[in-house]
Amino acid sequence: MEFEQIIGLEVHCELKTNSKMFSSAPVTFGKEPNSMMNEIDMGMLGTMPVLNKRSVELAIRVCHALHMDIDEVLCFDRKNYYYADLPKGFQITQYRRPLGKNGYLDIEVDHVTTRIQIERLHLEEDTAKQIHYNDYSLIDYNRAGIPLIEIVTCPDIRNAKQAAAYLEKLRQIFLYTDVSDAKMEEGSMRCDVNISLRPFGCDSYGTRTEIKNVNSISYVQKAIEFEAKRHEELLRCGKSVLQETRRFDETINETITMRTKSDAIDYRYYPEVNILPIHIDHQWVLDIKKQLPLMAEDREKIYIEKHGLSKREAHFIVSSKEISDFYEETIQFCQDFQKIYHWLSGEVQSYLNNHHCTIYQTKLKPIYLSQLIQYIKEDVISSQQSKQVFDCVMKEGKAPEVIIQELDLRQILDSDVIEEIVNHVLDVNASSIQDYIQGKKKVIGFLMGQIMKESKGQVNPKMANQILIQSLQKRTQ
Amino acid sequence: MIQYSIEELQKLFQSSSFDKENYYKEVFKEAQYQQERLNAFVTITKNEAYETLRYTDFDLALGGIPYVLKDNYHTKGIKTTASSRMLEDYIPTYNAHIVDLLNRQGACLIGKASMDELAMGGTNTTALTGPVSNPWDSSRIAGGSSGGSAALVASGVVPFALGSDTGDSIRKPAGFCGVVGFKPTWGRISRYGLIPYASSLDTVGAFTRNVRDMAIVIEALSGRDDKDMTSSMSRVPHYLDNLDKNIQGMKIAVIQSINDEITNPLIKTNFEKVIQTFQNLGAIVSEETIPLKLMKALHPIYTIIANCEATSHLACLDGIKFGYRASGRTIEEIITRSRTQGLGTSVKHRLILGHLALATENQEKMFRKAQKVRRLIVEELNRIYKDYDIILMPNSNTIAPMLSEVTEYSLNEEKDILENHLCLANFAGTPSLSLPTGFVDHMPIAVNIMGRLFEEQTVFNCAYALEAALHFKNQYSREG
Amino acid sequence: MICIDAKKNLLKEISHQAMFDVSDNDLIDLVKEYDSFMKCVAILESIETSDITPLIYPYEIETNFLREDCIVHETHHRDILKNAKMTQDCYIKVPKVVK
Repeated sequence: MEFEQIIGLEVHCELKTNSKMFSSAPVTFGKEPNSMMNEIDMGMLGTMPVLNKRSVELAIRVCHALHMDIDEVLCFDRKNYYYADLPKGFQITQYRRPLGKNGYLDIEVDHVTTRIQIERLHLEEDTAKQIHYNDYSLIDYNRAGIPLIEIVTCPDIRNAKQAAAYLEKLRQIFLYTDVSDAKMEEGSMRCDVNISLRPFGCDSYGTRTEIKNVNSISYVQKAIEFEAKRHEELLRCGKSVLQETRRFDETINETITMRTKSDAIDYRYYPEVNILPIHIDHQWVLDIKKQLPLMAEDREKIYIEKHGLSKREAHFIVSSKEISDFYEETIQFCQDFQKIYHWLSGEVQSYLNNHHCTIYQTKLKPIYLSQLIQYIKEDVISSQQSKQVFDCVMKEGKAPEVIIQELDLRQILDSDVIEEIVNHVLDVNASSIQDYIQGKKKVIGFLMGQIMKESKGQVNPKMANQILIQSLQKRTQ
Repeated sequence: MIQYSIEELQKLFQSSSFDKENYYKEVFKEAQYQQERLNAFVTITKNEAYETLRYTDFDLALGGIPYVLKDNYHTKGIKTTASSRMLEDYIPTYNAHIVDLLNRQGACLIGKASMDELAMGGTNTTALTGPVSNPWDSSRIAGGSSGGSAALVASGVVPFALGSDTGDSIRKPAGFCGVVGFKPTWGRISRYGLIPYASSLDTVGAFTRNVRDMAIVIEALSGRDDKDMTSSMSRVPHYLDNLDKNIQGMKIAVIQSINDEITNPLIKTNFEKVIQTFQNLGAIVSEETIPLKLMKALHPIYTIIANCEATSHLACLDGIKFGYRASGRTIEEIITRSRTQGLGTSVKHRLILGHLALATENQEKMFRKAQKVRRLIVEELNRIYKDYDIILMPNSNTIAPMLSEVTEYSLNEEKDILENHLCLANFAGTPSLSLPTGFVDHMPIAVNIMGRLFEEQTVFNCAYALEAALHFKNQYSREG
Repeated sequence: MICIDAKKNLLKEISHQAMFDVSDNDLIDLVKEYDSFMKCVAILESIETSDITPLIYPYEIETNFLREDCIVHETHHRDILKNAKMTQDCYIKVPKVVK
């Protein structure tokens, strides 16, 4: 009997706001513990929540990107439980009416596109951070109250690869909609996995387990692979899977029981009375949609169909929103798509790799890149020189034009001047002419090198080559 | 003599011959004297008050007017206990919105008043500092949960005090103590900084000794506060300027199913006299009914909704961030022991039963059922308000009980309709005022005047007319 | 009608969930209160509410108010921590939390 994996993912993502979801305390990372909070975040008695407009806007962006129906009213509920990291003793979330419903995301695995239906997207607040030591724990409330969105898929995912593709794609959406830095390893994007197995062809679902808080895409893959195998082994020997919550232990690459169903917490959800139902202005929702940048897949399509890039090339550009944004800015000045791609994937990418930075953190500007391409095209500089100019741009942040002037790099295109240099080189290297007569073609390369050296690389190589051969032929006639 | 009304003090403070310093000396002397008799303060903030007075602008609306807060309002730097062991040493780092408002208008806080623990009760006998006595007879209760505030206005120490009202926690003790007690519309005054009991019912309100003073205080407190999303954006009228004794043609409903419940003949006579007075003033009083079955559901609805909401509001009392912390080896042990040792029996029982009714498996049958019946009752009230400006009810079927008669407050003792009917105004969120209308056995009794949502002015006018006709205003009792 | 021991067990469990220890003495009173609480439930059950939606707020009300995303830097976070009974290096300290 063969089994089919039924997988659903719940993803939490921290939103990039200035202030917290329900208080005006700042959202800042890496600050002194418990310095970025106020009475509201600490759950002090008598405090009341006031919803941050920006958090709603960012959530709506993601709803649009996931093609969701957006509720016209925002309603919040309390999820009640006692835990050290939960200052109020309840978390404010959206239980009855999520902001977004019925969305989807298309993923591609091995050239097959699968549509993953998304059940819901809702807003909720983050909990405090705990730091565990051997015999005590410390609590930092700086994280408490940071806005989160939770996105829940339908059980449409069938294997670990698809799960990884979904997470990659979702992460890309968070980056393209600019709602979060979506770093799984830093916890600004988190994933819970629901998985069950059933025999192929069977309509009903098997017993599922939930794996909480897996913190990288590759761990999600490993956790699913392990868990699917564990389920399968149990089912094969006629045992049943226990409904339980597990966690993934990355040191042993296995999932471990956290709590069983009988320990399940009853969250006693009920409506949050201190937040009135909030009517969302329809025009605002439309405006947010209008202002939304194109998502990666839409951009990729344009790059292929309109810019003539290959799928691989287009894919490279959209794999980073910043590169793609930079590309789009550059094409405002210069339509040489292929060249732009080559620069971005070549020199630029290796610079970014070496310097561990993003493109907008460098001194390169889209107009500089376009100028560089333009100067090569117009033979103002050689492609060899262009590398030198690029290095200077990155170092000094000056316009290529300025650098070319300062370094006196302008190509020599005057054939009289070139001829003069060529003749000088031939005069000095008289023996090479003999070699040439004897048919040693290699000598051309050597002489070209000398010409370049003599002209400090400034002669136009094509012209120099032509003139050299003419001169050699003249001298050997 | 210190027992002036707000308006009298405003005039006196403007006169150069009035010795303000001596007045405050007398106020604190009297506060001490009444504290020994009534036990109504948790904290007397004498030092802070004198510090405030150094900078007080007596020309401000409430400049220099002394007042008392129920001890469930957050006061920055001044301990706020809600009369609970759990919060015995809790020093807030922020002010409730209404405290900021009163500060800005120059009012002078002289103390924090005793209350039933965390506002859960109707007797003011569950306070950590012990029961509060009734100023008219110190062997009787002041009522609760805002008993301390009621007693301090009724004994003449301050011209106004703030209370909070979830079921009848201002209006019941106001009636027992012979002063004016008022809860405005839910959303009229910001609740930011009020320790919650049940948010869908909680209301900020006040005690005064006459209706004009109440209009002044409520006008000072009302208005939008962006820190409380439930606070209303609607304009605040000038309640005092618009006070009008002429209630000719005002339509007043009395509820037959409530009146039928009056068993004390003296209270019944008094209530009939009030109706007669209203008719003499030109109001049209008629009888309406609310099905008895729904009236009998008042107490169940209240018990279930208030305690369900409370379990969630008070879940933050875990001993970790503030409040009493017991020792324990695990975090669960600390939370459990802190709550067990820090909270009183009555509070604990309410929270446990609230937890039960909020449990997912019970919620439909208990909590949501109570919310549904609440809607039915509110619809009944709205039906009556279509034809009437005011609903008039007796405030209570009894005078303040003897302290010795009140055993530890029990959540679920079966209660008469007439012990619970004031929560109608909390269910519907409507403004409701209790006004003294006489004495039975030397103890004050009162009626309750309830109006439409945001029609505070109509309620004030109605009460103002009745007050003028009956003359039970500015009364207080220093001895007894 | 559930027997007294079952009630006691139920209430013990609920108390535990609500983070309370109840003494046996306390439990006797709690059972009484539970009984009257259940009478409250029964009173409500007798009222027909099939087409009625729960009333969450005292009256039907909506807002369109949202807070602008502005920061208010508070400077008194150390005062807030003063109310905690056990702290260490600006953290609140608790016994080890078992995940």
